[in-house]
Amino acid sequence: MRNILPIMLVLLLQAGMVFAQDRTIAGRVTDARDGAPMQGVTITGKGSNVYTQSGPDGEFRITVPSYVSVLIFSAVGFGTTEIAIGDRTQWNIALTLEGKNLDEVVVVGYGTQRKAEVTGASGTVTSKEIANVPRTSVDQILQGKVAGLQSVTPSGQPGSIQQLRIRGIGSITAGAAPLWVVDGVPINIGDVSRATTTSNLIAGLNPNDIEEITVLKDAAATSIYGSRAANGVILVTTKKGRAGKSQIKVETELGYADLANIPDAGKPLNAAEWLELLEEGLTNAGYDQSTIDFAMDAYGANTGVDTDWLGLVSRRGKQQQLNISASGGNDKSTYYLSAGYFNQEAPIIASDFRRYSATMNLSNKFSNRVKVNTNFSASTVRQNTPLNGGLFGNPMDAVYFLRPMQNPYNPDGTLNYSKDGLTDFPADYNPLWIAEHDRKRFNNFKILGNISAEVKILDNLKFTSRYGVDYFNLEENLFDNPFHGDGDGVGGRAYFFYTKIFNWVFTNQLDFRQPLFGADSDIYLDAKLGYEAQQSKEIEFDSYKEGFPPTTELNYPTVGATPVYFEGTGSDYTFASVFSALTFNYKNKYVLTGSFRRDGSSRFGINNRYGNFWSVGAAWNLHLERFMENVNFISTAKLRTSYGVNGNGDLENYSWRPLFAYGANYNGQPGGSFSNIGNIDLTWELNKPFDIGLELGFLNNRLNLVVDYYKRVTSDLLLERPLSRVTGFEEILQNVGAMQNAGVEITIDGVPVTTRDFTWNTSFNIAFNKNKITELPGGEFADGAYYRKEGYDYQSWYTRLWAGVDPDNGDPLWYSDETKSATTNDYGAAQRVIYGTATPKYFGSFNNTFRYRGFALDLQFYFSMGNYVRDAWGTYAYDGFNPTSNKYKRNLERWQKPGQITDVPRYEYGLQNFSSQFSTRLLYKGDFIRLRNITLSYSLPRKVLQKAGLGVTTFYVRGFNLLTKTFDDRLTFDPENGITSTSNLNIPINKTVTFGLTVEL
Amino acid sequence: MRFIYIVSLFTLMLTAGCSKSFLDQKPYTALPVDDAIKTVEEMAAALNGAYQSMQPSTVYGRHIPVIGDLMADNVYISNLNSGRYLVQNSFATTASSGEPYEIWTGLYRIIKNANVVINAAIPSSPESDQLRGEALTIRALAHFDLVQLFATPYSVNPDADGVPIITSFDQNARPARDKVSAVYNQILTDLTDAFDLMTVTDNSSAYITKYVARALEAKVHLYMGNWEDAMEAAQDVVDNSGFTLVDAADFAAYWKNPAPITSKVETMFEISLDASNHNGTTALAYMYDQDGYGDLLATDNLYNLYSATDVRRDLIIPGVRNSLPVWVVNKYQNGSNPDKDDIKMLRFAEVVLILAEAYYRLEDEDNARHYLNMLAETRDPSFGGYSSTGPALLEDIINERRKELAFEGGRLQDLLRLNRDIVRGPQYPASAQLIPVTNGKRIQPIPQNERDANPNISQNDAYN
Repeated sequence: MRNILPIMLVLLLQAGMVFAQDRTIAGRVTDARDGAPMQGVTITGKGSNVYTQSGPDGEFRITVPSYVSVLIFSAVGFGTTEIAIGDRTQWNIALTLEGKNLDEVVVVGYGTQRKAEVTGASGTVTSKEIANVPRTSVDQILQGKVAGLQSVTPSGQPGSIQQLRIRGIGSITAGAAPLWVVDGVPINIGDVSRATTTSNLIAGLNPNDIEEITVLKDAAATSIYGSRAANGVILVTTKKGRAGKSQIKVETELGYADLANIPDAGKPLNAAEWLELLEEGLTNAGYDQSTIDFAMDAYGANTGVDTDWLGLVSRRGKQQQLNISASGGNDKSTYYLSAGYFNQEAPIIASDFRRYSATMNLSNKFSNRVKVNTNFSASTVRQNTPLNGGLFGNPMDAVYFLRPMQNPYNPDGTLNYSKDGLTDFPADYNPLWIAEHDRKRFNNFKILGNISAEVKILDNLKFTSRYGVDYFNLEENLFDNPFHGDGDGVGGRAYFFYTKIFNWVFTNQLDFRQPLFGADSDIYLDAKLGYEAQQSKEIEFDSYKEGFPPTTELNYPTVGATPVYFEGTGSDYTFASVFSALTFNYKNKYVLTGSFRRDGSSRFGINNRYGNFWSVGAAWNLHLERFMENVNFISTAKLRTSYGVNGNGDLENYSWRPLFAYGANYNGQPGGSFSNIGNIDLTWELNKPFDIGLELGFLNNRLNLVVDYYKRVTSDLLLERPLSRVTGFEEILQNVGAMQNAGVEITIDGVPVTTRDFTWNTSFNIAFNKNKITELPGGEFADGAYYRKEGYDYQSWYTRLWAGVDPDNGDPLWYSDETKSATTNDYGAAQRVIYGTATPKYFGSFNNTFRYRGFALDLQFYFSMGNYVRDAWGTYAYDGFNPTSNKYKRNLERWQKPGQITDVPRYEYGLQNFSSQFSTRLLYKGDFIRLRNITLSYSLPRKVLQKAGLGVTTFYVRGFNLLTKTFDDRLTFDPENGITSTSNLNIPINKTVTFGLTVEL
Repeated sequence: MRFIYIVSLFTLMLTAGCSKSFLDQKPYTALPVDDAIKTVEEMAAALNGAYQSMQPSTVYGRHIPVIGDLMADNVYISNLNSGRYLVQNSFATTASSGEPYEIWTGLYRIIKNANVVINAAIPSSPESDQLRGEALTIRALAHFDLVQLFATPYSVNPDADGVPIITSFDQNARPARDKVSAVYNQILTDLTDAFDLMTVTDNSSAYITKYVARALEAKVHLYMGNWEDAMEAAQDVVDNSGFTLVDAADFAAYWKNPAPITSKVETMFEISLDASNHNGTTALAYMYDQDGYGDLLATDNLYNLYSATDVRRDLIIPGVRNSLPVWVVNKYQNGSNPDKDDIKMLRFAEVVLILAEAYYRLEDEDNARHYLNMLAETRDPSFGGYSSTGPALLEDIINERRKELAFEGGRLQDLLRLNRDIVRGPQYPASAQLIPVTNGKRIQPIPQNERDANPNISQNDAYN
């Protein structure tokens, strides 16, 4: 390749012809990073209105008037590159993009930075990896995209919150999620649902409107965000218009969603199996035959009913999206407009997500010195979100708590909701009736917008003022019908909850760049100085009524007869900050950076309201050194390191305040109580990240390697220190603990094969993290299913060691202690011990793209290894402890006769021997590898497109989450269960198959 | 020049909005605790907060009354159940069980709220004395339930470990257990102080009045075996408080009524639960209501104690559950009404029974029979009255207590203070049909979480 190119160029140059008026320039555009042909790049003759686009193979041909001397290449995600045409008629733009590399600009906190000057660790995800993915929110799409960014789904509910952790879990009590900044505006993220099960704030942002995401990981990258930086920062840049051709893009896909992975061990029993257990269980419990016969009959042994509840509550959901965008502009003004529609039905009834979104990003140059930008996006999401956990209204609860002999239908085919007998619904509800007649729904409306003015005061001094708004409102409506279910006892009930969050951020910033000692100095100085104020105000109104009319059609509180409550309250926080950054660049070889920020926040106690945060970083671009000149196989080499101090200010808004709260009313009279113990010293958690990284590019950057080692030490950890309950409080929040995360991240990407027709791109990333609590002043303690102890992972499981089943009598056995030297059948006599962790030891992804002419095949595997997941509901689904519910299939392997070797104890009806209580029996290996994405696409050849008058047109079929490989046969659910690795009868995650089409006009 | 202009403008912007108030965001529903109580009206609001903290199902709203009947012989858990109170049904409580933890935490939360009122810097006045007296009574009540549930009965060993006595807020407290006798002394001090401070004798039954403190004093003395003191206090209440027993004719309507009363008929103090403040599906009524969870059913041997003409028997109705005929408790009938059943904390009937027992213990059997029959004949107008003597009379008193106070959570405490085996019968799990006095799980464990946070606190023997 390297050798052929110049020869080709020479040949092509000689073949070129020069016209008097117009001339034609042809060539091929490839992505400098991987050599892949780039389609859809707009090529404009500067100063003319002549333009074209590159085809699927990256080739272009443009005829420009003679006065045009410069071609502009522009593509979303790649910025604009200009080349002087000269006398050549053939331009292979790999050269151009190579040339761009040195001066390539990357997004960093509060601006951009030349790539050579970056001293921090960060990862970038581009629009083509984000667009048209059948996931409801961009945070889900980020799974596996950046080394060290863990993105985990706690629920398969479409629109569910996603849990992101960068470089390990950095906090116990405060937030551990990264800060999100969209077009320079720090926004609120998280789960804002208060009545429904989950509502993800970021789900309103249409991923197709995102041009680029930059994940900031270490001190040099993040510390400029001060007390918000400790958990990393995610910078989102939305798409903008570009001068040149107007482009209209239509992207649509249609498909379906199925349950991704319900392991056989976790499937519920059928009628024959359940009744077999009942009979055996009653016999083992010593009941006489007449009682057993009576019970068998009462439970419906002779009815012939065999309901597959999992089958009834699951379905094939619809997956659909349509995105239309228009962009363009001229030298003065540019625009990007878009509209999007996204619809996903979960593979479980009554669970879905629908989003409409629109974006308008405008930019206008008033003069050479003044530019005004407006970015505005609005969206509305509607979501149906069933209950989760052990609530009777949860369809997944029904799967495991309803018996197969319970009949969903009456003889006339209508839904059965009688409470009469055991084959009806005396306790848990008929999920089909609930899905049809109850409502668990919300609508939200979100605006992300900012307006900014950039004033070039001097050529090297820029002033930017930006006012950003992050507005969100949420209307949650719950209705429980008066006939059956949660509303039955109270004649029907409905909730209407309204939440509004208005978050504004006002940023003023000076940017200064110039050579330090005269124009021809080798040292460049880049400086920023800014001020930022932010206020987020949340307002909540809640109403709840009972006593509904005898219909299921009216779902709002007004029609209820009995007001239960009407509440109105709010919650606010503020930040006020000054920040600055400095960069010294010596010949691009040696770079030194520093940042400083001072933050004050309403969330910090009155004794510790302001904090100072800083970082220093250094980078050495080795490949520019003379001694590297002859090391041909290394094209770029950079060594960088940074250290700094930042904070985690993600505290509850008023938690530091000792409070006497009203609302503790009694007998119709207002009442108050000492409700929050408070702590006036409470403040941010202190995080000190160290990072050292090496970036290497081989063979003209055809193979790239990035390796980082980091260690971040978090101290002043916010910890709920348990109090003696005699105080009247359970715990007090204090800045007392310390924890550290250390690890290695490796990213490799390369182009193993590239020919004119075929390219193979591959990339692999992996991150190892070790988390360790280093200081717990209150001493170690059991925290639910976890044990918090110095020297151990924060999420260390704490439970009894399961020793299997006594072959003699089928009793459950536990090891008496961690030595495993003795066993006991007395649950209480077995000691609890630390056993593994809920946090994976390593995770990452492996991606391959194969392109042959117009065809492309994308394969992404995601893996997560080394943790244990807890079956929090197995207590009910194993053994005879809760004999009226359905059971896992694994119960069929129960002990039945002396000498039998099995892992499932004797089944005895109603036996309270704790056999299914939490022990390592309910901890499964959480390792999994998932075929996250497989996409086969075909782009129509250029000739066909030209005839049809179309731009780039691509068809694809995409499978998402199609295959999952797990490593524990005992698993009763998919092992991806949130950061805490704990099941909660959530909607299971789905796999989708979609057929898509993208057309440019 | 322009540069300087812009820079000064920028500096101005930097300093603007940096004002202190911008960072002082005040909560919407709460005041700083240090200056929350400055007036007697605010003190009254704090007292309402203390009453409110008695409502939750984790304390008087459900756990305490359920355990009092379930861990005795009055009610059992149906085989068709929602999974609640199974360990209590089978006497398999451990230090990690949820209910003891919630009761422990909840009762000390009530004490903390009462202490805010008791220790408020409001000078003495008739109004503030009354409020302080009510709070002292609440504190005494919470300590009384703690020491009964979590410690060896006073009548068995007053020198045993009791529970920590908490009379002021200290966030660093990690106390050891005070002796049972010390706890009882503190309870008595609080109740006598309360009686002396309070002046209000007529009020809604949702609030504590003067003779409520006196009646509780009688109950505490009874539990301690101070028969003379119990008799005096109970007699004082019977003679001077103005409370009366409810007539048989009004008995059904009395239990049907969900609202606090001012008539001084029967109810001396109840925790008010109304349409806007109630426990919903976690209510006590929901555990009994066959349209709710309905897990708790009355035992046959309790039902069989009542005569056919006893109005109290009408509060137990026949039903079918799990395809079996069962006795359904109908004492709490307002589960689906907007205004929910209040939790009866103290009824005049109990004072009458305390008086009867105290007289019996003081060997005044005439008075004992007199007060026993006063109640028994009111409940069953066709009953001719007890004529028993000696130990049989005591049995009649204890049985009458059981019949009168069933489903209000007092039975376990009677069996504990009398130090009797709990004979539960065939409707309970086979392993838990007889709970002898030697079974240490008759009292609750000190919760594991408390032990983890407070190394100074010792565990009850059965849970070590």
